[in-house]
Amino acid sequence: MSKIYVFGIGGTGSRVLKSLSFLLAAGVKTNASTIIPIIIDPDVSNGDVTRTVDILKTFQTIRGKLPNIDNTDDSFFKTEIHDITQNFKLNIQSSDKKFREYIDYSTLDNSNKAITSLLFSEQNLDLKMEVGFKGNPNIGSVVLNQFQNSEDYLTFQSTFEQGDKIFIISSIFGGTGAAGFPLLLKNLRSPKDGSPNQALLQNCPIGAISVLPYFGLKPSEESSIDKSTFISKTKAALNYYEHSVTNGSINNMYYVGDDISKDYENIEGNSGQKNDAHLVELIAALAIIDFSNQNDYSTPIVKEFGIENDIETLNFNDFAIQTKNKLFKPLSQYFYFNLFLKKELQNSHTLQYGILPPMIDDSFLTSDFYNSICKFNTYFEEWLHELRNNKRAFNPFELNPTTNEIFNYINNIAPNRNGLFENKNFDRFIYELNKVKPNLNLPEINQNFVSLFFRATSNLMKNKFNS
Amino acid sequence: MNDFFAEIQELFGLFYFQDLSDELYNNDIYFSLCLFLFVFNLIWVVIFYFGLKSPKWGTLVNWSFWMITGSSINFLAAFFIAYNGIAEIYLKIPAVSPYSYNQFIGIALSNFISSLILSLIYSSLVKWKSINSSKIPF
Repeated sequence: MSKIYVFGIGGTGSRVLKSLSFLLAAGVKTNASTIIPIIIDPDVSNGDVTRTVDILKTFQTIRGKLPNIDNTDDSFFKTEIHDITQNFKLNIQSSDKKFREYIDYSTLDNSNKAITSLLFSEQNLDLKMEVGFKGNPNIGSVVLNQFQNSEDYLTFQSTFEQGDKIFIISSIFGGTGAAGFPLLLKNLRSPKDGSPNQALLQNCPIGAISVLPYFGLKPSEESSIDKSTFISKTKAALNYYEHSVTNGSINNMYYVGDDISKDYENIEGNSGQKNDAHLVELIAALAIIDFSNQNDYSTPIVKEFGIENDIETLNFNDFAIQTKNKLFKPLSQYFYFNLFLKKELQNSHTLQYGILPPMIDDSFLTSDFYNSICKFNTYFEEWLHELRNNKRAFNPFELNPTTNEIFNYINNIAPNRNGLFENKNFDRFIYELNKVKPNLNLPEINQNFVSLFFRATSNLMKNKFNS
Repeated sequence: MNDFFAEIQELFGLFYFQDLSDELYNNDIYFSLCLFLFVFNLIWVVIFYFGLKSPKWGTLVNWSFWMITGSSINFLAAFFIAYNGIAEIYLKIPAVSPYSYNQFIGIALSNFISSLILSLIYSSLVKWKSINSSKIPF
């Protein structure tokens, strides 16, 4: 199968990649064997980027210790995440200079200075760029234009093969994403003469999602980013995209945004910019899945996303059936996988499923592999909490349950009733694990462990939720 | 067949109580004792492997508890089957039974031990098909 290169531009790009990694971990099916995330963000210490990189690396660590995963039909962590650049980042020769210094304003002649003054305000010219472009796409478009000369971009071009696809994630209302997307697209479709795989890149399927405003920022005197400009910047960018982007150079264009939003702390960048996960980012990640599963790219397509019920807190039932079908089973399977590891594994690994070979013993439970899964699951849980606490909220699972009825933890979806002689709750879960374990022909413990839980949770979803 | 039952009940001579054992042998009470031993143990072991709902029963500790309980039931059953069988014989004569409680307890104890051994044998035979306990007791 092919690879998909996913460019995540700016903070939103990183957060969408984060959601994508959780979908892939849960086993959401893609028509691609490998996803290659490439983060484009001049803000090297951005909190969102740092967190996403750590999640992606943890995913890789887990996936790297599942050597037989390609021989399994379905599994958690089935799709590979591969990196071709250091820390998944496309190195941009950004600077901590002011924009004025970056363009050597002082050396310009008077006529160039005049035209520069038309395009850039004094505030723009004095902007320091170490944390990105602070919502100024006009600056971003100048600085980012040099990434095609970077070694990382050359590596990307060199590794690109026939059948591979490209997807670009960007926000339209900020600085880095709004500037980076059209530039990247232009460079992809019109590579420099003699650059590697020039013809392939010119004709390959490219999809993109442009994220419209979905959060606000609290007013701050310390920040130059003002949420009141989001809509006007969006309108201007959409107008530009209409004429220069979606006119045939892109195969699939996705748009998503929301008019119900929450105001985040107004932090321009750096480690402090660590926004909570948002439903819109999850939907944007779904766009990548949608793009990867498409077979025919001959006709350009533009898609928007809609929900079934326009309410402030959504669960699975508030999505259209196609979206529910994509998300419900895998996310629920992973939710129960995490729940079991957290609440029950330590108490029950001496039972049948744990003592049948390969054994889930103390040495496995202290292994790097298991610790990496626990670390990844901590991020997964954090992600679910953030989705629930954001606005518009996505709250599919009961995260602070007051009951032991574990099959009631999926909000608004009632499980099938228990038969008289059926086990309940974790006993039922353990029964499924005991049933699956002898039929797994996987002698390697890590793969056996992951497949065991994947199949057991799959059986549970089928029996308890007809899914 | 009666000789075989006698061997089982007396644990190959370990629990031979002379006159009492001879009377149990001659009056086919060993047959009743063995019938209970074999049938009850089979049912008891099958319940453990296939009847208990919770997978959490599938531990060595629980298996031991279950089998000791079963053997204790066997102990009581053996005591009463032997005691009542002999009492009935002496009631018909009529005469007073010459055997002490300790001797019947000895018979019951032999049954308890036989029951434990049989539980292990039955477990080895049926555990393979169990979903929750195929590795119990070994």
